[in-house]
Amino acid sequence: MLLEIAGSFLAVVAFCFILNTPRRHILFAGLTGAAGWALYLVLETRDMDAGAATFISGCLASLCAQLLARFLRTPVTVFVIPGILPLVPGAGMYHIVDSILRSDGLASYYATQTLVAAGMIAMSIIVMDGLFRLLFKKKGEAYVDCR
Amino acid sequence: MNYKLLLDTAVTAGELMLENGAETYRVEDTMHRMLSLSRLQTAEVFVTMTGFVATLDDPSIHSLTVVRRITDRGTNLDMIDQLNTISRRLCTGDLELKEAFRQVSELKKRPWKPQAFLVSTPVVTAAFALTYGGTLPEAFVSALTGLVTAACLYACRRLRIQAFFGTLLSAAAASMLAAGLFRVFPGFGSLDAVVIASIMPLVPGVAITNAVFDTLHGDYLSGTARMLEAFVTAAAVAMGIGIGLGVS
Repeated sequence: MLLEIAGSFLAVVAFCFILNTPRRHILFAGLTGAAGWALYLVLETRDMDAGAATFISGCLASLCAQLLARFLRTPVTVFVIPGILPLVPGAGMYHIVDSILRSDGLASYYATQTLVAAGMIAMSIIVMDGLFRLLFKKKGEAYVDCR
Repeated sequence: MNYKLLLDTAVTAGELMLENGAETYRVEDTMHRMLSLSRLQTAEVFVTMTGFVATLDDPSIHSLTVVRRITDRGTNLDMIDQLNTISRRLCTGDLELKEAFRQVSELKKRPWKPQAFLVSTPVVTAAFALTYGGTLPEAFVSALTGLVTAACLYACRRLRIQAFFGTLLSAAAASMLAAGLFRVFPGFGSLDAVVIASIMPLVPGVAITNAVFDTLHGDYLSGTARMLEAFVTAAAVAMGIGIGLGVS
C-alpha cells in the first residue's frame, strides 16, 4: 500500500508539471492527491462501496485543497485539479471498453460504476466548496481571491 | 483614466485566462472587477467557454465594446495564478494601470514550452501504474507508453489536429503499444494496469473540476458545456483504447 501511495504522490507531482502548476504549490498539490488516494485505499480494504469511498476521499482531497487555497491565496482549482486526479475513473473507462471487446455483458455495470465515480467526485467538490462558502462568507463575496 | 487601455488590459487578461483553462465565472469576475475601476455607468462582461463580450459606456464617452472568440484551450495553472495576482493588485491600487497592462502583455508573449510536458508524461504514467497496484516492470512499460502518448499529443498539437482526434490517436497508440509488448513478452505482468496508467494523462479531470465549479457558481451555460467536453474527451479515450486493443 505504501508503494501505491508513493506512486500517487509522484504521479500528481509529475502531472503538476504538465498543468504548469506554480512551482511553490507543487509539493502541497502532491500531498493533497496522495492524502485522497491513501484514504481511498484504506476505505477500499474495509470493503466500502467504490462510490462511497470515492466520495469520502474526494471530500478529504477538496477539504485540503480549500484550506491550502485560502492559506496560500491562490485559486482553489490549483489544488482541486491535482487533488482529485487519482480518483478520476480512468480504470472504469478501460473496463467498459475491455468488456465490450470481450462481449462478456459487464459493460453496463462498469459504465454505471464509472458514472457514479465521476458524479461522486463532483458531489464531494460541491459539498466542500459549499461548506467553505457558508463558513467564510464575506460581504460582497467574490470568487476571485481578493483579500 | 485611459478607458481604452483599461479595456485592453481586461480583455487580454480574460483572453489569457480562458485560453489557459480558468473557470468561466472566474474570468467574468476578474474582468468585471477590472472594468469597474473605471467607475463608468455601464461596465458589463458576458463570458462563455468559447468567447466573451465586454463593454464600457457612459454619457461622457463613446461606448467601447470588444468581442473575442477563443478557439484554443489548454491548461496552465501558473498563468491563472499570475493573472489572479495582477488583477488583485490592480484592484487594490497596488499596481498602476500601465504597469498592469505591461505585465499582462508580457504573459501573453510567453511561449509554451513542451520540454516539461514531454518529460513528465512518462513519469506520470509510470507512477500511475504503481498507484493502481501495478508492479515495477509494469511501471516501466507504462513509462514507454507514456512517452508514446506524449509524443503523439505533441505532434497532434503541432499539426493543429482537433483535440478529439488527438486524444483518440494518443490513446490508440498507447494501448496498441502496450498490447503489442505484452503479446511479445507475456511474462511482464498484466495489461490492465498499464493501459489504465497510460490513459491517465488524457482523462478529463480538469474538465470535470471546471464543470463543477462553473455549475456551482450559477454559470449553467458553461457548466453544461464543460460537462459535454468531459464526456466527449472520455468517449475519445474509450474509442482510442478500443481501436488500439482491437487492432493488436
